[in-house]
Formats: sequence, structure tokens, C-alpha cells
Amino acid sequence: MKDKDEVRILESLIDEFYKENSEPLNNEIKNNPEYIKQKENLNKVSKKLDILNEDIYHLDIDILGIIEKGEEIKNAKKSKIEFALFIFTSLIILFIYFLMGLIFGARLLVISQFIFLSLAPWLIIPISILKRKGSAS
Amino acid sequence: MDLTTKQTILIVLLVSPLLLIQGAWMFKDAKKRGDKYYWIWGIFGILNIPSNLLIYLIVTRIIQKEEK
Repeated sequence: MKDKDEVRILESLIDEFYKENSEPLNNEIKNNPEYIKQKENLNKVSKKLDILNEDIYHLDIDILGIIEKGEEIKNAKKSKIEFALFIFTSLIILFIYFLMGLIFGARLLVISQFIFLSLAPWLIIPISILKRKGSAS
Repeated sequence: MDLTTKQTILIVLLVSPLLLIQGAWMFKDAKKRGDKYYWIWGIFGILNIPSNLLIYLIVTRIIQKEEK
């Protein structure tokens, strides 16, 4: 019996909350402690859910910008690693070159530098000019 | 001209940082310009100073500029 009363009270409460009651509530139900308690709970939940009524679609997120920034960070990291690898390689080459200079004497360093100085311009500059003419035609 | 070991080491210690800086600059500059042979330019830069830098500048600032 008590359960039936509870159900009746809850149904009346819901009808009243959504303004669907066909006739006004009687005072017996209105003054029922269970009715008052459930009505308070319903009002609290309603206040919490009011946040969903706010417009949340005005957010301005630049997705493309964020993706581009991520790519930039990834490329910057890759560049740093590549540069560090280049410095390491250069140090090894210089070490070997100067070690050979120490073993075979400074004469080797002088001769090799003379070769670089005399041959490099005559090789690289004409090749670049030919390449330029090739791409132009 | 015969150099002693000490003199050779001294020259090496003086010249090495310059070569490294030159090579690193050429590496970064060639990469920034979009040259696909930036590694070769970098290694070329550590072999001789300053003639290799002059060759690089002639090629990139004059010859390749005319090409564009």
C-alpha cells in the first residue's frame, strides 16, 4: 500500500514538474514529506542540468593551425638531431684528417689544401653553370 | 717548411673551430635554401677555409640566383 502511495506521489510530482497535470494536486499529497523531499531533489537536478541549455557551439578552435604547429615542432626536433649528426660526422672527418697530418707530417696537410684550393673552383663552378644552363633549356 | 709536432697541433687547434663553424653555417644555409645536397656542402665547408666558403657563395648567391 505504501509503495502504491509512493508511486502515486512520484507520478503526481512528475506531472506537476512538467506541467502536465490535468487537475490541481490535493493538499494531502502536497504536504506529504516524501513529496517534498523528492521535489527538492528534482529541483536540484534541474539546476545542474540547466548548464546544457547554454550555447557551447561558439568555441573557436583553429584545428589546422594546431596541426601545422605540431608539424613544425616535429620538424624542428628532426632538424636538431640531423645537425647534431652533422657535427659528429665533421668532428670524425677532421680528426682523421689531422691525425693523418700528424702521422705523415704537415706536408700532407699543405699538399691537400693546395689541391682543394686549385681544383675545387675549376670543378664546382663550371658544374653549377652547366646545371643552370641545363635546367634553363 | 717543416713544422714540429707542437706547431702542427697548435695550428690544428686554431683552425679546427673555424672549419667547424664554416661547415655548420654552410650546412644550415644550404638546408634553409632547399638545396638537396646540403650535407655535401657542409662536408665541403670543413675541408678548407675561406676558399670553399667563397665557392659556396659564388654558386648559391650568383649562379643559382641567376637561374631563378
